[in-house]
Amino acid sequence: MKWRAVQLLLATMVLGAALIAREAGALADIGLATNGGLGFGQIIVTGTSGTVTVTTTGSRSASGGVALGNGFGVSPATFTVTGEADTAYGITLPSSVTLTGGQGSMVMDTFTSSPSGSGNLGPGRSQAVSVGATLHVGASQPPGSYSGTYAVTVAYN
Amino acid sequence: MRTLVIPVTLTAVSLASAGAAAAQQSSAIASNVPVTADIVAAITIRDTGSLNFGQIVAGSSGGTVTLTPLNTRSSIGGAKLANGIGTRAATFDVTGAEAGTFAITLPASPVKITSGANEMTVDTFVTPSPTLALVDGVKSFAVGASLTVAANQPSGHYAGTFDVTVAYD
Repeated sequence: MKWRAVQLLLATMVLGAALIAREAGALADIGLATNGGLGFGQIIVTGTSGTVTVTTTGSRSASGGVALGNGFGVSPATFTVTGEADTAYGITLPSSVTLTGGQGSMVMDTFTSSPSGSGNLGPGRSQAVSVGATLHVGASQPPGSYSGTYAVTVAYN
Repeated sequence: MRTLVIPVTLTAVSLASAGAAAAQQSSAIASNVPVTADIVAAITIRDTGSLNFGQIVAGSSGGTVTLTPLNTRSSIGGAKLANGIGTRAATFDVTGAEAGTFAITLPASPVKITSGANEMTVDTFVTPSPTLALVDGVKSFAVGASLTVAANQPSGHYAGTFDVTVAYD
């Protein structure tokens, strides 16, 4: 009788140790906070289509027929990723997003990020991420304020 | 006394499966990240009237005739004002963004006006405000300047051209 009780106690202790060990190995939840949106600023249409690109460092350039107007609001989108220290994670960006304005729409694509593809939270358990993209402007793009939204995902590797 | 032998089996428990880490939340999404862009029409400028200093009488000493953007003409030195028919500041119409602002660039160097082989210089181009706001996509402005008349400047009809540039700012 006594022996059986001891066996049961030992079995419970082994199981308990395993459970505790599993808890200690879990990673902190990954988090993603948006600090600021992506802004392309003022763009001037000249009758020829073109593109405007905002890089992850916030520099803006135009190609084709569009000209750059004032730079108010030009910014990459910025985020803070938090989670487990020294842990790698992947960044997923959209492939294409549509902005709409008073009487028209524009496509934004060729998203870039810094870090690119994946990052690492480091000893500080967080990392800043910035995102840029390219906007396609039509030859007769109707004037107005255009806006849109998109999603960014991060995940532990 | 019996020796009690307790058989104990320790089962190895794998703590982490190969691949995904164990975390309550191993992915996170930022939804509704905003993006904005402002599209504006190209800015255009059209001149709606030349700068005209009117009739001036040259004297035996040089002088200067000034025409303000508000069409007020004055002279100093040997040059005297004669009839003011046709005197006017240069005027321009600008079109562009519904509510944009723009900067005006006037000639920084003197401009020559000529009558045959004779010439005079026009400089000190002025406009009331170096930047203006378009209202419903349009705005007009005027430009004045100063004319340098030499002593005994030969008579004649003197003419020339100058450039004015506007750009969104």
